[in-house]
Amino acid sequence: MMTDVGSAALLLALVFSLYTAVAGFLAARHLRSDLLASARRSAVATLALVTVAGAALVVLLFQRDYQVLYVYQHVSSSLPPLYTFAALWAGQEGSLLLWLWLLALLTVVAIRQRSAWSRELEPYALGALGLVEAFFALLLCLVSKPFVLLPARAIDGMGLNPLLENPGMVYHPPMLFLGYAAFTIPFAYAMAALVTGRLGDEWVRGIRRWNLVAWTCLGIGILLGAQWAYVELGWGGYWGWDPVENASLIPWLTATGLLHSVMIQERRGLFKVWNLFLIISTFLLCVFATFITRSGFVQSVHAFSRSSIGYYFLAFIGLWAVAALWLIGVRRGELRSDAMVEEVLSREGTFLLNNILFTGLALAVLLGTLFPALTEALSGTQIALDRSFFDRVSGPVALATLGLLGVCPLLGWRRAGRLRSVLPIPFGVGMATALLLGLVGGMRDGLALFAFGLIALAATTVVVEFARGAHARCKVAGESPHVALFNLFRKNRRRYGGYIVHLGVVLIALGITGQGLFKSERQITLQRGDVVSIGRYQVRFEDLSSEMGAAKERHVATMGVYVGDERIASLRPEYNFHYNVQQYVSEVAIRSTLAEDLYVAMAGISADGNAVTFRVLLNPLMIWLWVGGVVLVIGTVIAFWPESRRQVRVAVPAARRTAS
Amino acid sequence: MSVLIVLLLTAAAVAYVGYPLLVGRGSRPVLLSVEPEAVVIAGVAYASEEEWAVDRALDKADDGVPQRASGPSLQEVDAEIERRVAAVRAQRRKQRALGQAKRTVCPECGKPFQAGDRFCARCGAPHPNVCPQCGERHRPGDLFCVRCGSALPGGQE
Repeated sequence: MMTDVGSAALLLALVFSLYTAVAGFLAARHLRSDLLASARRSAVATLALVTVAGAALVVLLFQRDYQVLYVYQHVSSSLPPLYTFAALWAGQEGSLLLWLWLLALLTVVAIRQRSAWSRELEPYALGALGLVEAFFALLLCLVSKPFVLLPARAIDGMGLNPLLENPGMVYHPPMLFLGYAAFTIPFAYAMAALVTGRLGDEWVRGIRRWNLVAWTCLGIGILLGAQWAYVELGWGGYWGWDPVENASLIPWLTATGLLHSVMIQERRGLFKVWNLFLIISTFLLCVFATFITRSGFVQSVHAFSRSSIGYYFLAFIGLWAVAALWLIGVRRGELRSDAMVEEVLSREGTFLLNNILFTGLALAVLLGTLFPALTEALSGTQIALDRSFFDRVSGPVALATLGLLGVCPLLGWRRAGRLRSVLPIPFGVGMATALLLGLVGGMRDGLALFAFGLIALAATTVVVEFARGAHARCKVAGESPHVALFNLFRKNRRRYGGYIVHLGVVLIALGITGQGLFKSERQITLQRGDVVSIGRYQVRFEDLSSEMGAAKERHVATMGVYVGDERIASLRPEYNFHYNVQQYVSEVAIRSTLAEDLYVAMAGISADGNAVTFRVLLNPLMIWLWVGGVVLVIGTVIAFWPESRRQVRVAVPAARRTAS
Repeated sequence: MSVLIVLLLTAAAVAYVGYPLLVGRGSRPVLLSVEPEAVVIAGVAYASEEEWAVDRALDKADDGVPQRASGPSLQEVDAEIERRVAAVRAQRRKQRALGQAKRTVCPECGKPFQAGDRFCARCGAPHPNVCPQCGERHRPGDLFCVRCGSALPGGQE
């Protein structure tokens, strides 16, 4: 019964999303408010129907109805409730359903907030959103059906891949999908702006919040994924330049460029085509990321089996790209810039550089990701690029970005402004940090000195900007320093929230640099009582205990961590044999401090069970990567927070005033 | 059972979505919402002149003339208001024209009579609905004067 209701709900969702699109377009063409109201309601109905389908799948998962293929493939009787729910997005069908549900939800949120800028655009935006929803509904009805039945009921399911049994599984995929789905809204409004020709800065201003939400969700999703990889995969790193990781990074890079260049369109009327291009390509890259993850187009640890679904995705991306390019071509007259970049050393100039860096890196990563597929198409053999390619490309770009982050906020619009009087402070701090580390700290690595110098420069710039802002408030508005600092956030959330985000990025850079340049790693086979020393730590393998469970065979090692003679901690890495996949999966033990992470993973147990191979890593400054992520979220929330609504005085006719 | 649920679901969705089409169009007028922005300079909205001054001190604000706010521009709002006022005026004019058509005009010079007039204010000709004997006003269509009882000329026609 559940499967019938679920399939029918999906089919109805397809019908209603198509109706949303058609009614939206017709309402705009013929200026009919009844059709628009109907299209709005149709979007709500689509959300309700997709919710019914999703709920049906969740009920089936919890009922452990093993006659349903999806349930059989992703759930087993021993799976805890939380992961049973998370199994909803463990497979291709469920993931697409989640995508569609999030998109339907965000569509309803978007049409709820009616404001002046969206009045003209809404019918067309609704049309575009309806088409995107219809695409995903079509996939779920035709190619990737979640409610397929097996000929007979299986006794037990295959269960979740043990690598997925991590809290990361609960947060990471929905967050990422939320980011992907949220980029559909700016995309829809961009298309609407193109169709209506209302290409001023109102719509760009209007979708700012959506850009911000989508960008943050995507960024947090990526960071959560990195964290998951770090604690679960057991190879000691957090980012492997795996195709699927890259696929999620590419739209994030273009979106980062977008967040900056949008500001220029708002203030100076420049980069209009470029912004449209960034919005549209960010959305299409999000769809492309879903495609890479879900099609097996490129080999990856994340990918599911090869299926024909890829052609649908390619057709979808291709059609939208052609439509968007055609519309931009038609509207090119209205998209002329209102002004020119006058100096390179100005806000606009550095934003342009920033955009070149981000989109350039996005393009390089995209090419690197597609390289195996491209070489296969051209020469018949797959040639994969290893991490060193990506490291070599992204390293310089990251450093250049840090440099811009340090200089750009100090620049004025149109001209360099008071750069000469302000820059010496961050520049001096950066130089001093590098010198101090080099001379006193004994650091000899030139690249590391440069990187840390830039990090110090960028961090100081943020501090200087806060100090300047507070100072200006003190002088102009006559506020006391701490009130002024508080008011900076109150009066200009957008700018100073943005600076907090910059601070988060600097902290993330600190973590990446520390871990990337100074990690030390030892792989060693130990017997009970043996000691391995790494950095200032001695790690002693003390005991190994094993037990048989229902789902897995657990092996837990007890490791004593010593500094000198003092025992400061004990770590318990695990190495478990999971019956459902017939594989060993390692559970990592990490001791985090502000200075470094001690990371111990088991890599193998000898046949007699006496000798154990360990991978021991020291990841300096690792924790700052996650701290930076938290700071980034705080900054975004500040920037996102709506301005306090000022009292609106409206003249009320005298007759009505007395009546009420 | 499942067929029933699906039918119910479909019916509910169709009824919900189709409702506005049945009720008809244009029930709710589109309202203009103007977001209050104290000062808008070079595309940036400031809460007050003071905030602008702070930004100017930081070298982060353009100097320029206050421009349009986000949402409909002032000109747009102005145009909309003008349009509505014009519409109201046109309607009034139409009503007035209608009222004037009903109101009696002087048969000699064409000047409309005011309420209660017995003679034309411009040429002195008598109102067509005035009793030739005693000068009392009467309603069109009356056959005899309500005051003196003489037969009225308009009544015979």
